Amino acid sequence: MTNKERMLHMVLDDKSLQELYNYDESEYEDLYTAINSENVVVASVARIIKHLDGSTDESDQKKVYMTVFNYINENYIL
Amino acid sequence: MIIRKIEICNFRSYYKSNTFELINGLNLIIGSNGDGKTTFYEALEWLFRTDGTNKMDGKFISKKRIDELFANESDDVRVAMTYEHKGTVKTLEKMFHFTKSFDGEVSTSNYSYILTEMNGVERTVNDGIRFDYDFPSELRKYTMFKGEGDLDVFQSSNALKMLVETFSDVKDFEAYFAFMEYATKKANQARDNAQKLDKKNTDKIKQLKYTIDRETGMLSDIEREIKNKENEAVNFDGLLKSIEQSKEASKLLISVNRRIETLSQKRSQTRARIDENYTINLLDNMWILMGFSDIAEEYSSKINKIDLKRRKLEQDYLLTAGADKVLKKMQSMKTDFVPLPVHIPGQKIMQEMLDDEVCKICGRPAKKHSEAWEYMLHRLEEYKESLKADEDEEIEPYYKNNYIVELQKRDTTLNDNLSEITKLRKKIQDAIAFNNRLHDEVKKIDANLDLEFEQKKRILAQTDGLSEEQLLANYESISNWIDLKNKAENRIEILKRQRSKHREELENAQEALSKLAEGTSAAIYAMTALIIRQISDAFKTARETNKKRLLHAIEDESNIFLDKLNTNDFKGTIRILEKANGQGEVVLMNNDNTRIFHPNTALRTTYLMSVLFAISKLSSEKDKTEIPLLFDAPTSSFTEAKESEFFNVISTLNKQVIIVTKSFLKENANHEIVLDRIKVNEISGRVFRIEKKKPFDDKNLTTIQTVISKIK
Repeated sequence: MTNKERMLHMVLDDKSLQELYNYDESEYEDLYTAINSENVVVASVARIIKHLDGSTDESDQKKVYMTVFNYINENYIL
Repeated sequence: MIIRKIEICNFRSYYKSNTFELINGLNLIIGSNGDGKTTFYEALEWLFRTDGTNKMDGKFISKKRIDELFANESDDVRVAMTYEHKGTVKTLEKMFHFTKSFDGEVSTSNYSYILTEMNGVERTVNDGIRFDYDFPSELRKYTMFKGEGDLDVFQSSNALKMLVETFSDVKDFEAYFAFMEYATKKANQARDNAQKLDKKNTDKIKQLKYTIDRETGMLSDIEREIKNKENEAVNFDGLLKSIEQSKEASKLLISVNRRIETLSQKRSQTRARIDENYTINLLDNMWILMGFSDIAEEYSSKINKIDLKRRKLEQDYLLTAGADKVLKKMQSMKTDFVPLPVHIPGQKIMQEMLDDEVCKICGRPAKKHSEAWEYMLHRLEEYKESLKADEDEEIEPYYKNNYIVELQKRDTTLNDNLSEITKLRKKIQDAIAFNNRLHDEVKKIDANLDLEFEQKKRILAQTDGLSEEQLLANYESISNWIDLKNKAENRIEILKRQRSKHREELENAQEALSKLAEGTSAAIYAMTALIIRQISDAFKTARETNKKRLLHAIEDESNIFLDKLNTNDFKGTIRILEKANGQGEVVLMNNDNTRIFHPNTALRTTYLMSVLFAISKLSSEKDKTEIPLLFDAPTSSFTEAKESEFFNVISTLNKQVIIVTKSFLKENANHEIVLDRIKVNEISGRVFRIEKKKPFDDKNLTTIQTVISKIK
């Protein structure tokens, strides 16, 4: 398991998040599956982890934020 | 990574070439003080340094080698390590050239740092800094330890953070955490901007935003104050802990100082009572007369003889002078015997005798108007007559001066005081005896003072370098620090309650703002902001979980190692705590979950080393590569028996450990330091002995050379 996959599992393991957004963490073994999930929150978490790639660079932060923000805006159904 | 060989050439006491062939297990390098143990450690430190500092420091060069060189002659300082890493044999080598000039100066040049890799017959040479890939500098912090003081890896404030970054399941949480804070802020801004377009709810939105800003500001202030107070509490806690041990010593010191003060005062008072001004007393208190009674008697006898002679001569003279008055006078004086001078006994004595009707010279009664009484009366009247000036005196006195009379009077005085003189001897003896008793008392007080000063020395010697002033100041400070720490902790509680309250207010305002957005174009922005916030919380929780998992894993492994290293001794349980300021701390707990604050040094060493072994094991499990551990003199506080047991346990851990130590050395009958072969034979592992080559001059570094012998 890669570092990113371990991180994905650890974040998706959050009980409050699971309850709020109704997903089963065990369904998402790897980043690819999570990114392609229909669950917007799961997919957002996966996108953050993949695209940021551990960077602390401001421009990288901005890019990733726009990616995730737009993704949620476009895909979350109120 | 397993180290196979270490070569040290012309590095300080390692003159020319010296090689250690190591095994994958316990390697002991035994040497006494100054034999080269720490130099071995420092040679490796220099070799592993990949940051480019301390490249060609002249102080590394063997003084003996420099001394041997002729002018313009050169040699190299070289340290090399051959190791196996993931199936490949590599050699890391650092060296530089040194040349001695005509005037004896040494210059350095040609620094090189290379990593050579052997792949079958193929040999690849790279820059030495690539060693960082095989043995990263973050890892090296947890593998090389100089002395027992270095073993606590959590000493540095950053240590826990570095540990988590290096060894936890998930790396780079910090970067994601920072990102989530950024994203939350941006999402909230986007929501706010979208809501600006909602004219219907402008006022409500404005008010809610104001509340959000206010609550955010307050939370920020509260967080800041909590952090400050937590740091304060940690600092005072640290201060109190640092003087915990010295608290007892401070108390003892105070009572010792009090006793010293009392004894010193008593000593001064006793000393002040000693009066040994014997010379002054000789004259002032007439001590000079002590042996005088014999002299007084002799004086008395002599002066009376002279006086008798004087009176006889005077009598004859007056008789010869033939004056009627004188004749009459003499006739009246004529007796069968030479009468006593007219002033003896004195007027007072005579009056007394008359009043008491007794002659106090012979002791016989002299009843009033008896012959004896009349005689005494006549004597008194004669005396009174003698005091009157004689107007008719025509005859020149026989003696113009009254020297003899004066001397005679003195005799009278002396005899009156003779009893005082005889008492002088006893007086002087008593005075001397009194002074001697006081001297003895002073001696006893001095002996007690010596004991107290010894006690004081012992107290100060056992207080880890604290001076007397510091100990006393610490004692004064204790209650102050306790008070300040309690105040800080109470304030933290209050602030935490306030924080909860303000968080709730903020959450409510956020929720209300989001609700306002429902049914408007801002709704999705509000939802996005909410989702990002919630994801941020999840990252926060995950980060804490990540940290806790690592700490628990280290704790569990550490306790397994501690169990092995301390089989027959008290162990306790290792816990790794995170302090309020984020710093880590390794502590030992009793079974009842109380903390053991002051384990003895040997126990402290074993539990800290257990943590290091645990970290090393975790590292090898993660990266599938072993890292060796190197300790410089970690067991100086152990008993001999404990040392042997300790080393044997380490040899069973299936780990490469290199320990540089003074253990197993003893003094033989010729006062030479030799290896205890019997004890060494009980150790499983490789053993080297390093020692200074004899003969050497301990004041001349150019004679110092370390020699290595492989013992087993």
